[in-house]
Amino acid sequence: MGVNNDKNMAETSSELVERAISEFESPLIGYAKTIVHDLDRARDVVQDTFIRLYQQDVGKVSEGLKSWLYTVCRNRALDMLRKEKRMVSMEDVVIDSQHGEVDSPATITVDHERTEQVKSYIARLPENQATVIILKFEKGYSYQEISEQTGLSTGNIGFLIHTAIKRLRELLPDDLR
Amino acid sequence: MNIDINDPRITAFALGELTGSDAAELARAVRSDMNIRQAVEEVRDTAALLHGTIGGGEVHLLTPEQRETIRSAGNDGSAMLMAASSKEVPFWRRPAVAAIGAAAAVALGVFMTQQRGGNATQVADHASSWDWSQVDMKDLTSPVQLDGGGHVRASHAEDASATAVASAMSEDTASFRQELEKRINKEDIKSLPVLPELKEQDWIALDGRENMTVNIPLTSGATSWPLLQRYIGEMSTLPPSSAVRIEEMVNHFNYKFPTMLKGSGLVGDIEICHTPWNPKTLLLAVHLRAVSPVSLGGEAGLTFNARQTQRARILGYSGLVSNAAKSKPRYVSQSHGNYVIYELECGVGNHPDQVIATLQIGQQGDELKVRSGQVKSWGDASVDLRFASTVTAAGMLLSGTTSLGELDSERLFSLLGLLEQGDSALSLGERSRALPLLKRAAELLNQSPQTGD
Repeated sequence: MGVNNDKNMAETSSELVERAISEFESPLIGYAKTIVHDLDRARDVVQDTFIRLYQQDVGKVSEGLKSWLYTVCRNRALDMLRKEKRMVSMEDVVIDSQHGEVDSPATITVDHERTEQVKSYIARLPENQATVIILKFEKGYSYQEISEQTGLSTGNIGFLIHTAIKRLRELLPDDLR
Repeated sequence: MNIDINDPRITAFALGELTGSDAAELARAVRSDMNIRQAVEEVRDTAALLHGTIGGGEVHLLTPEQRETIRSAGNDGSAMLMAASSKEVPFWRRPAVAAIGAAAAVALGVFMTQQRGGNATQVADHASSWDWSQVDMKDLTSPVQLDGGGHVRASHAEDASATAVASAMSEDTASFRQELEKRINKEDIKSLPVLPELKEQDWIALDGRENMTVNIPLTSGATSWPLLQRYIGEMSTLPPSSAVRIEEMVNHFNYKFPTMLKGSGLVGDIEICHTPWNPKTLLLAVHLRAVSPVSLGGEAGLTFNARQTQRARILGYSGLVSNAAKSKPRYVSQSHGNYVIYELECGVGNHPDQVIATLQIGQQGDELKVRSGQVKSWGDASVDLRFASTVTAAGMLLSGTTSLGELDSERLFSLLGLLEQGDSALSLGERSRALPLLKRAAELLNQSPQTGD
């Protein structure tokens, strides 16, 4: 079944945005970050991009969704860069952060202790589930790539990851979840 | 169609692995069924944790609050208002830029025609093989006009650049992205704002009179390290001292999760060692983090014992008014926290039990004392303190801090060498990339020595 081939089930703008978030949230944030150099700002740009998607004609934009999203995201990121150069001084940034109105962690690197904790919970999963979790989140493979690595079907991979994440959520303590 | 809460497609959708009709069906379910939406959000939460820990990287996901904001905008029509409110004249449409841009567009059109010998559509089809370094910056950054279907409106030669850029974006072409990032960095340097001169924090004199309590900053900004990378790494020149904030340099990096003291949603560690560039002083480091992902900050204070400490200063945080934020709510991040270093002039030959300073966290009186007997040599200090103090030393030299003791570029070289030899943790992540940059800074400082008192 195509996305829009049933007129009674035509995709609404809300559904289009939800689908766009699912498919493009992460790559768009990475893209915006190459322009604005900051993860929090990149998230803001992407949030704004998705909000603007509501204004579009679903029937038309659906086909060229990726192109539309990347274009608007890029335009918004460049716009933010321009505005910040004009409006934000170093002094403002620091004083704002001292006052707690912004929380701007610069870079998140590995927190060894936390990582070890998470690994210990992954180790409690059945071996096949732990393997796909490692391939998906440590190696960054897609379902298709995991399928090629393991010889399992993408359907099986999906089931294993789904089950593994549910189990992990049960195992993880509140401060990690 | 109802979707079962145990349907594996829910996880696939949350992870961006679902496309086509399955994705559309799940998107519909997320909008109409709160249980499905919650299930999707839970998977994204766990995915964020896994990306941020075993993935060893940043979490390129929106926060749950941002996703809700997006959904709300669709529900109440505020998307239209938000978009309408931000229609300002972009810089590329200013007259001077537009004139340059028009010329560049013509040049680009000629260039592309020569390169490909074909029309714009053909060029766009081969965006991945383009030499973007030959394309004018304006064309890389011009807004691309799309029709309602997300297609570039390009049928004339002068629209070729837009077509090519749009094609590169559609394919998320790595070569385009790298060139754009490189050019933006260069443009950033050219157009840096005028930075205000910073006034370094004064020493607080205690002189044996009364103990002194200071609030510990809970957050730092994030601009200095990227600026240093651009000045030192890319331009091979020293940054202006006003661009150097020691606390931002130190807190660009992550440190071991604190465990020594806990209270009011905060956790903290404290450590003290001899200053490797000043035999008369000690370095006292406090590391604070939130217990939950982002906590509304409690209070954290440090009390110096006037009998042991002649004077003390915080390293970095230039230009801030002491205790200015006391009455304001503050946030501290669990993922990053804040690592703060103080320099203390203390009496020599103290009894090992004598208290030098006391860390207090929260409203309940939770505190931790650091005593003379706990003062370590720099070489015996933790990896974190050795690294953070070396970054601090670089920041002090680059920012022109006074009272440097024996600190100069040679001493900085020496500290960096010791770090390199002794700390295997440096082989991980950002820290390993910091060393070459700091060495280059030391070289540049050596060629253009800074002076302290």
